[in-house]
Amino acid sequence: MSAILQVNNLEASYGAVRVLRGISFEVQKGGVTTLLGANGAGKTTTLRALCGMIRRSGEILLEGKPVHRLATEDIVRRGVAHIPEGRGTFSTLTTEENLHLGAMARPNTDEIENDVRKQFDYFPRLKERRNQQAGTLSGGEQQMLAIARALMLRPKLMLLDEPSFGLAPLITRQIFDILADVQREEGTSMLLVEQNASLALELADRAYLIETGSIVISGDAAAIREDESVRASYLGY
Amino acid sequence: MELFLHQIISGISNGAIYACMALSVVMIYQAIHHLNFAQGEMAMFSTYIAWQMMAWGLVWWLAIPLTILISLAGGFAIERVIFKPIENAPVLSHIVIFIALFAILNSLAGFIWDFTIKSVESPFGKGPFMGSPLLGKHQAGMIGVTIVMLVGLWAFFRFTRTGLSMRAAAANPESARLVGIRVSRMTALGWGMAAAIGAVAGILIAPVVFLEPNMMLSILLYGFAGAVLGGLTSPLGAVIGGFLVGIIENLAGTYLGGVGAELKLSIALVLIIVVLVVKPEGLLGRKIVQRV
Repeated sequence: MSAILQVNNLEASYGAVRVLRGISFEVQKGGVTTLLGANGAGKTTTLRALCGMIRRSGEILLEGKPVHRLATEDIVRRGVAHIPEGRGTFSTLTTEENLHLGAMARPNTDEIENDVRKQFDYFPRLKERRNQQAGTLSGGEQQMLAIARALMLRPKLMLLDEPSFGLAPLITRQIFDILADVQREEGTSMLLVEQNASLALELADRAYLIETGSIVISGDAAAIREDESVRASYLGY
Repeated sequence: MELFLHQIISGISNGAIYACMALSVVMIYQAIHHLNFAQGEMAMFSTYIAWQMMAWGLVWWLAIPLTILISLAGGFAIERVIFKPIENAPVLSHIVIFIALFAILNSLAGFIWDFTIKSVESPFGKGPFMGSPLLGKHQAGMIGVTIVMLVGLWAFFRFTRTGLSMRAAAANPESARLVGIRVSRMTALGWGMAAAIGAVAGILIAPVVFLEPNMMLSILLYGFAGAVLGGLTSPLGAVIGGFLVGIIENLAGTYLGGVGAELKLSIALVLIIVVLVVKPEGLLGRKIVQRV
């Protein structure tokens, strides 16, 4: 397997505060990598830095090509779909318009309509709510919409920022099942940031543990899941 | 009763002016979430460009589309050159530049074309509309053009990808970037479209008020009033608001003893204040429903 995303020595700061202190990791093509860590460890910052939403230095290679100098829009146009913290819903627009926006970086073809239908198959709830203002959807529905919107790009790589945030356990379970389906059926590579370590390690094949801006542990997701000491001291379950 | 009807209809034809201007105000508000005080002067400047081309002998059906295109490009350029570099500056900086633009365009027009009043021919011709004593051809044309622009804008935002991108960029710029929309280009396009609509408004207004550098001063205020009344987020609301302002202004001038021609403009201002206090989202503006 080759890497779809390679990150070398990534640094980022908010003003004078250095949040990422040179972290390196990779995502395999078709694989799922998860970044774990406590609040404020720098997980969300990592995703934002990858997408050029904050200033960063270091090397970011997408399919071997450097993207660390590109603007957010251009990184998205290369097939990176970022589902941001807070889900990024266009709350004044309808569900269906939100889905169409997901395909905005693709050429305008009939396939977009097909893909909208496909999302409605994955998420029947969204179909019921297709003409509803997206801000009125429930938290779980908005998370589904965010994933569906990301899939509309036909992404090579999805960056997911805490898909479980604020959701009931049952809904979270449902969302992770769908993510597993997507990964299996579409072969989409994913970089998953999560607080819910046990769920994330189930989906992922590789895991990295971030603590105050540095990677402290990395390895096979299965190995980390089994490692009692790591679980006890870092993951707390 | 006849007087009443007459006042309503003449209110509607004045209202068409305000509706056009209000449309331009809503357009820019959607793009930048500010009111651009120089909007009226931009429209005035566009009108001079159209006048100049016609004075050089160009027929109106070439001069007007050309002016609209030039205004579109001009509005786009103003955003790129002046506002893009200060996009993260505080609101106050933007307002200072709006005022500077206002002063610059106003005196530049005076410098190039001097301050004497010029008359502009209506492209719709003179005389009553279909023999009606209440409505002139120009007034009817103005109402028609306003409605066509409204429908055109609605279709653009509703059915085109660019229109959807513009709405998304205005509603949630960060998410818009994350789906690959070039947000700052959409803002510039909003400026361009507002300028183009303003150009149409100016060209329609000029035959009524005559062309001079200060022609848009009070009209922009009425346009603001119309846009606020109808709802700053709704083009349809802006047009309805513009027509209502025209009607209210006329009726008040006729029926309220104290309100003469001098006080007409105050009505627009009173209207702005009343709407902002009583129903800040306007008649058709969207109240944003959101779950948190």
